[in-house]
Amino acid sequence: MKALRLPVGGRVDRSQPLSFQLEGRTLRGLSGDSLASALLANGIEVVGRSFKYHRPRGVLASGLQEPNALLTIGTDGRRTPNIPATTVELYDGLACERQNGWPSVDLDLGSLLGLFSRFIGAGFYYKTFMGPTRRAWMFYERWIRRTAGLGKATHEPDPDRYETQHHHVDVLVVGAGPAGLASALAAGRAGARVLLVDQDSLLGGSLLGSSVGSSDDQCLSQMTAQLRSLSNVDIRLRTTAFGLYDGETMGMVERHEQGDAALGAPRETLHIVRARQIIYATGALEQPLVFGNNDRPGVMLAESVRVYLNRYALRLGQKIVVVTMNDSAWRVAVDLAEAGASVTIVDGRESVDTVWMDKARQSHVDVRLNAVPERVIGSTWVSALEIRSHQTGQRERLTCDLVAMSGGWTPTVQLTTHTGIRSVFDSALGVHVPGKMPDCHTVVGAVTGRPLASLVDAHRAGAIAAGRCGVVGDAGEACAVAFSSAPFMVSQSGHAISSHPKAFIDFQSDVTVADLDLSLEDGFEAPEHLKRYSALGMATDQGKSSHYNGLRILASRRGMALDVLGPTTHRPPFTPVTVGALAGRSVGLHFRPTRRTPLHHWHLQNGAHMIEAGLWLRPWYYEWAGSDVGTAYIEEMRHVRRAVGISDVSSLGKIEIVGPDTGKLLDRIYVNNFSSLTVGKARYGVMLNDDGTVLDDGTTSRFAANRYFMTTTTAQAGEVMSWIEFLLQTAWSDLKVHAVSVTDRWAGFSLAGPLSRQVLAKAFPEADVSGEALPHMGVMETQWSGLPVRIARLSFSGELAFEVYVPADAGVAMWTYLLDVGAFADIRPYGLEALASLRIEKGHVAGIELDHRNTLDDLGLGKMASRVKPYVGQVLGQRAELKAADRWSLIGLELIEPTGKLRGGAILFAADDPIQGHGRGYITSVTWSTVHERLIALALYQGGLSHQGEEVVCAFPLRDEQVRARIVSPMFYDPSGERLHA
Amino acid sequence: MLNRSSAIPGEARCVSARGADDLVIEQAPVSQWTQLCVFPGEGAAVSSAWQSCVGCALPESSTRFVADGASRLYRVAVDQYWLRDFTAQQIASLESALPTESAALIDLSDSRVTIRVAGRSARDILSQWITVDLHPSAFPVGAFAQTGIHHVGGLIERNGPDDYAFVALRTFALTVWDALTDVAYPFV
Repeated sequence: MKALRLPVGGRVDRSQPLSFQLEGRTLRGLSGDSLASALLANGIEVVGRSFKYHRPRGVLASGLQEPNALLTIGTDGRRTPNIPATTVELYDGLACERQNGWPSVDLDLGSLLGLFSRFIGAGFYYKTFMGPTRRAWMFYERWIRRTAGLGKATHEPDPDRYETQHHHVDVLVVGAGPAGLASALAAGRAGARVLLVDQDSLLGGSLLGSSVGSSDDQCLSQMTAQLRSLSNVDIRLRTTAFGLYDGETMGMVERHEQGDAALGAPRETLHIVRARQIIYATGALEQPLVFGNNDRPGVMLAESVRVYLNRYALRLGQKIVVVTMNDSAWRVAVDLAEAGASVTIVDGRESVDTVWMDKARQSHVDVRLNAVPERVIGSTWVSALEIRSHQTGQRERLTCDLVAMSGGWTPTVQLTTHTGIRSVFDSALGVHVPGKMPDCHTVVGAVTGRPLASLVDAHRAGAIAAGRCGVVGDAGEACAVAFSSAPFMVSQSGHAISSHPKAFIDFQSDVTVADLDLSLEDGFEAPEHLKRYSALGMATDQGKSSHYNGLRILASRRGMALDVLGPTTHRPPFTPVTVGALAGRSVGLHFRPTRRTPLHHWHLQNGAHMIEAGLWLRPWYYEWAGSDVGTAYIEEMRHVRRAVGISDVSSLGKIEIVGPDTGKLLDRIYVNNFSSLTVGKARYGVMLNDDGTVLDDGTTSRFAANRYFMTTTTAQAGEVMSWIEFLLQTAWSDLKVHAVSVTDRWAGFSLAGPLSRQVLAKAFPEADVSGEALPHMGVMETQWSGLPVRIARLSFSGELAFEVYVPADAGVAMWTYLLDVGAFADIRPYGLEALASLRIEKGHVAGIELDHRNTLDDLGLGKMASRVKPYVGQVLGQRAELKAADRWSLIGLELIEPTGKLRGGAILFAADDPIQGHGRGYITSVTWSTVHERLIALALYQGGLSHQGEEVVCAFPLRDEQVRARIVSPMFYDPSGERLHA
Repeated sequence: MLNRSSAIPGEARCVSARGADDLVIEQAPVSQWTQLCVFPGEGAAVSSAWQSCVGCALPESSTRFVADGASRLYRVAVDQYWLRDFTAQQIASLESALPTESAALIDLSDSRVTIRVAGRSARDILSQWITVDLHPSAFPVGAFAQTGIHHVGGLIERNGPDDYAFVALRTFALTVWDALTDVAYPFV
């Protein structure tokens, strides 16, 4: 390669040299270079090996459609694979590696695979490597995956920050080419809140391919200056709009300048933009031509060659052949010739506009019309191009060191289709253009498929968009410039399809014309099928440089028109998005929200070990009782049974229900009656889903005629609240009831144990908490330091117990007060593990048994259901399947072996059952019983307590364990309730 | 004196390296919150009782709060209002003025924590989490909206040109605080 950095021109800063590392080699570039331009300037010909055949590949393009120059950028935790070098701004110290070559990309043994290419064509993995045994593919797959593929991601943590930013704008303009600039300028002048985004680091889009100082460049400078003077126009460069979502919401990723991350700035920001009007100025992408060895390094897209020339001041060859079917490549030929190259242009058309012929002649460009490229000669870089005359069929070999090809342009319609508006085929242009867009979406510039002759239409679109937002300021006039050299769209109808075995359609997926033919032979004729069978258009570039050629050749092979076939579906993201950007700040401690009780910090400071319970963090056990949960929870249980313990139950759902119809509401949602509940009493209740399965249980207290206080399980609090609100807003909107979550209002403690009443009496000497004044299921309100206190005599543990509720901010004060006054009774805190174990001993069901699959009868609660009033779930709960005698229902289990363990989730089998399949039930909850001094469990078992006394086998396949247990009543402790009612 | 504890431990104040004019995030003084619940079909009766007791009409807007001295009133749903920092005397008079068949008051004090975010960069910080359009043209001083920060529901209000407050559930307050101060990291 004879790349030459021109001494003048371009948009690089020659006064700011930069150095970077390629696989340990130090190379040099200039500020303003892309990584691709810097590699080319350093004479790097092969920038990677192809996905399947390991063919040497060079830079093809200059923008985001680049399929070949995919490099791994960065080191350690910042190592990111598969980044198009054409989209990376060069910075000092950049480190990169080429991909998919062993031992190196320059000398890759994997290239030997090319010798076997006939065996690894399209869909080979569906047909070959299947024998000799059924497991053979598993063996081959490992090696195939090792040789195929792109770069490898790091396993190290990403050290960088990623952020998210929400925006609301009047007009969003996607693309800062000439049309986008004109639209943004008009909307901005009119006074609209405008956001202009472009994936490039510079404004200008296609204008950046023009030489500095040209009329196009002057137009760019003029519009840029005007835009930057408008405070209501937000310009975001290095920002790629990757997906359009409902409600005119656009997802975008902004890549921040390298080096800022080290200073605490984010590496990338995910912008979520809600716009009232969206203007797509997304331009068009130049397509390759399909001919033999068109993937050789040194074969590049024509306009990209012009960009390297005029933007990066790089003339990539001395003897250049430009091959094309359209006018746009002629300006490339002229620019290259004027930069000193020897240029031949080969055009498949019989005639070309005289304007171009004249320009070519003036620039001494050698012209060959009515001829097409046949194949490239060269190994790691092009050395010649063989062309064939349409008229005579004669072949001619043109010696060259660069081939610049242009197969026409396709509008960049992807974003416009993301919400389901399919692009439509324009037969005059031979390409798909955006479909009919709603009023809040407008397309301008090259994406419309029409040549951009002036900026008037784009300017008008910006003004109209602003007007639709109610902004009607003076948009001024469009920048007066005539784009005489912008013939974007072409039809390739005259372009012959190469029969060369290595005529590539998709460079990134290594799909050739022969692969496409093979797919057709195998019956995959639809574009969607072809895509999935051959992988055409499926790589990280999502077919940006292959989709159109694939469709065109498919249509030709099937003798169909392109409009009949239609494109495959474009889905977000338009370009790859890092997981880091999508995660934003929701990482580490911020992965999800955490809910803390008012006692949280007291627990941490007083030896509690915390455990996640849904979003909550709850004390699991306390160090006073032991150094690990296994010993601590047992000691905590014993303490509650013999003295008194205090537990933080602030996480229980708490709902204040008020209004004259509250009784009616509760009667309908609970299976038992609540309207008869008297003031000062609480009642245990169970509510069903409308399908008859149990939703939740809890207690509801009545503190006044029209005021009730419902508690729910921690796990179901949100669901119960939503359920009540749903019913009140839809089914029973006539009820004079309001339900308000007060979970955050109250801190709640459970005071449990035989000495609990004595502690309570000492804490609230003015309140009568005697058994007569406050019997089991009694509630009362009192005051403490001027604050309201609610006390309910309820028991989850089976012991004499009370729940105490105080305003949350006073939670710590009340908790420590109770600990102080209860010191005489040796009151101690106990955690969630002991709390849950005490309830197992008592046989109370909890969240794990209330899993929305069980009925009242399954849980032994059938007698609670009222026979005189209707309730939600009553009707569907009568279905035969829910009443079957062999349903899995609640039992107790006690281990009858001296060793071994009962484990939650263990599968239950009858003693003489074979141990296989799903068994007859499973264990839901297990604990060590301090009363029985053995492991006990709650379980669901087919036929339930009708099998009481029988032995079962508890199988735990994960540990290959089987133990024997006996079915007993689930109420292991104080079945007559004497302690509860003490 | 009862020691009341905050959901956000420590100083609960975070200031930009460029000064409080640039950014300050801090826990606001504790407020008293009460919810007014209006029962179906009782809007007229409640309005009348409210008018006679408070001297003004209940607000119709659910995007602008009504401020009167230290107290504020927010319409948070069709039939629900939040009363902030109404005096005990005002609440007592309302309780006696509002017919129990028509409305109820529920004390929500202690259930909410208010986090103030103020300064030139406040909008940038908030817009990293909040999906509401906080531009002055869409969210002027006196506006409020129910939204969320890091999946935690809450209420955002604008109290000055660069002065916002987010009202969070107490049990999630530390999560919200952590979320806001985390995105403010580059500023401090």
